Amino acid sequence: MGEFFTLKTSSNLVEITGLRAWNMRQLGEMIGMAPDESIFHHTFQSFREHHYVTEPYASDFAQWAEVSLHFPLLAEELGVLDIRDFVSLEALRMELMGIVMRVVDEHSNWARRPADYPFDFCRSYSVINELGLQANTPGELARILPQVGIRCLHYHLIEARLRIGLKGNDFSFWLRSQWEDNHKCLDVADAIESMDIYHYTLPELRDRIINLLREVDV
Amino acid sequence: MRENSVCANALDEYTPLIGESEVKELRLLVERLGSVRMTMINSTRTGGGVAEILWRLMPLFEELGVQATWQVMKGDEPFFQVTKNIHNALHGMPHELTPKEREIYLSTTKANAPDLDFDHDFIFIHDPQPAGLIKYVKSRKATWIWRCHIDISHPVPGVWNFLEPTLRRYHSAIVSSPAFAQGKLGIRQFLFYPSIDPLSDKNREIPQREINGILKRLGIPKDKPIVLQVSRYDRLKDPIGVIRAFRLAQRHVPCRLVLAGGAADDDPEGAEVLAEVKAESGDDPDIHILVLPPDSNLEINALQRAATVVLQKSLREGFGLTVTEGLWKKRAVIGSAVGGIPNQIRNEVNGVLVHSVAGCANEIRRLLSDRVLRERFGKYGHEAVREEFLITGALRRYLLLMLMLREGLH
Repeated sequence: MGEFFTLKTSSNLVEITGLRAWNMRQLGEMIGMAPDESIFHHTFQSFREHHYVTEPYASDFAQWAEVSLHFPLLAEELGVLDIRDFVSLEALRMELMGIVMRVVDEHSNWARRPADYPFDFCRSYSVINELGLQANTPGELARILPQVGIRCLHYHLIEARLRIGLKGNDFSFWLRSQWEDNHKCLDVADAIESMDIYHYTLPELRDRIINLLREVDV
Repeated sequence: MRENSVCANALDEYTPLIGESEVKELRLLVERLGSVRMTMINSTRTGGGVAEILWRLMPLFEELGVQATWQVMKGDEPFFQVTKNIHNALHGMPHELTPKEREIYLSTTKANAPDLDFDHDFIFIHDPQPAGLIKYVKSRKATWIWRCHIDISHPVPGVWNFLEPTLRRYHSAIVSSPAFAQGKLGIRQFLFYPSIDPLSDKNREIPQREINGILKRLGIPKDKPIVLQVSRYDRLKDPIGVIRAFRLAQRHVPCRLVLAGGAADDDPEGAEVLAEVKAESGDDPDIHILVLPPDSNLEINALQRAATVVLQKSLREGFGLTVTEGLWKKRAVIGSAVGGIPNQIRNEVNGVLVHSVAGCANEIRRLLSDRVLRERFGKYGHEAVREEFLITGALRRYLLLMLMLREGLH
């Protein structure tokens, strides 16, 4: 018997950092100086908070560029970033800052134009708790997943890539490590990993994961 | 004993609304927190949003096994006049505190200190009235946290200078929106969004029959879609702008406007604004101006549920809980991009943000004509409130803050 999959959940407390951007240039500068937890909050956390809907811009930065700066070009550039492409917050920060500063350079007449309302940088602290639920097989996991909340799903599917430092998620990681010779398991691990998290809500993603796990017979 | 018809609900009653996993998470947080003693201190047990939420929050703490008490400081009329001036000045309304006012504030808080129990692990002080207590308590065993429910981003300097040294004695503060934080406070500021109770009279599900009865009693026909703004008669809520936006929309789509606000008898400016609103509406039979008593929670609930579009077209706003209420009831909500409204409305996802009378008029027209869009906004608005703005979320945040302070923040 291999390792159990232990289900956990992540609760977040938000602190206001005091960094406040009123225009595009300040946004870029402050992305550069904000704490890691702030980059996490406005990208990964924002994704969870709005889990119930697929929207054009999942990150707070892109949303603000669209609604408060009224600069859709920047919103589009920031909105196209996929958090799955990053395994460190520093890499994500550099990419975000690079995009904003490039747009600032290309549109200098917009760089200091004041937004309708400021971008307040916040930071998230996570408290992780075990839910007291464990699965020994993919089938068991499929039966348990309907009982867990969205924060649990976000923790294992989205936040995981920051924790395990891989372009992956806890579900795929578990399947691969426990059943490395089972082709069906490996296929399901790949399928979970390739799900488009931007075009499905978290509850929809959960349903898809459950269906995939049900296909595995171990 | 409960006051003002406020009755508490058991945690299990929230389960169908928030899901079992949310309730389980609350229990896990309490288990991990272990034994703690906490107290909330404010200045009134009746009236106002803070007391309203504490009446409902405290029994939930108790049910979860947290040793939580609620204490109320005492004050006389001159004290509350001073704290009202402080409150307004923190909001930016010009006022200089006289030496007499300072003396009244300090002596009242000092006189209260011996009568209150500070033998707790966490002390949450609500708003400016009891904030001075920290100066008169010698024991530093407890962690003191200032829960500020008002916007302190642009205070009058003199009043701020009077309060700031006291506030700096706190471990941290809690504010209701990033926009309300104070950059010069010098202590950590955490974000707790205000919350609504989905089981209260103002927000609970009510049968259509009851809604119809209330509309009939208020004299509002159901023959046309209703556009609603609930807010006191205050220029900052822009009721005249609402009427002008409605008139522009009304040319294209048949509809009724309902403005519902509180009685203005003791508020000379409110009475003046109400008169202006009545003059602006003229004798238009499609405009209904309601002056409701303060305890009209069921009436507001019914109006919000009967409305097709809910507006909050404020020029300045606090957090804007009427927006939260409209979103929770799955209404299509149009709000100005001011105060806490952009924290609640994700533009074009669960509602729309507007910046002018014309913008508001366009959106009224669009939403009245597009049922699918209204339903989509309504669905996502409800989810947004479930995720962030319910009383159970406030409970979770208090538990999280105590847990993280006890375990040590990074």
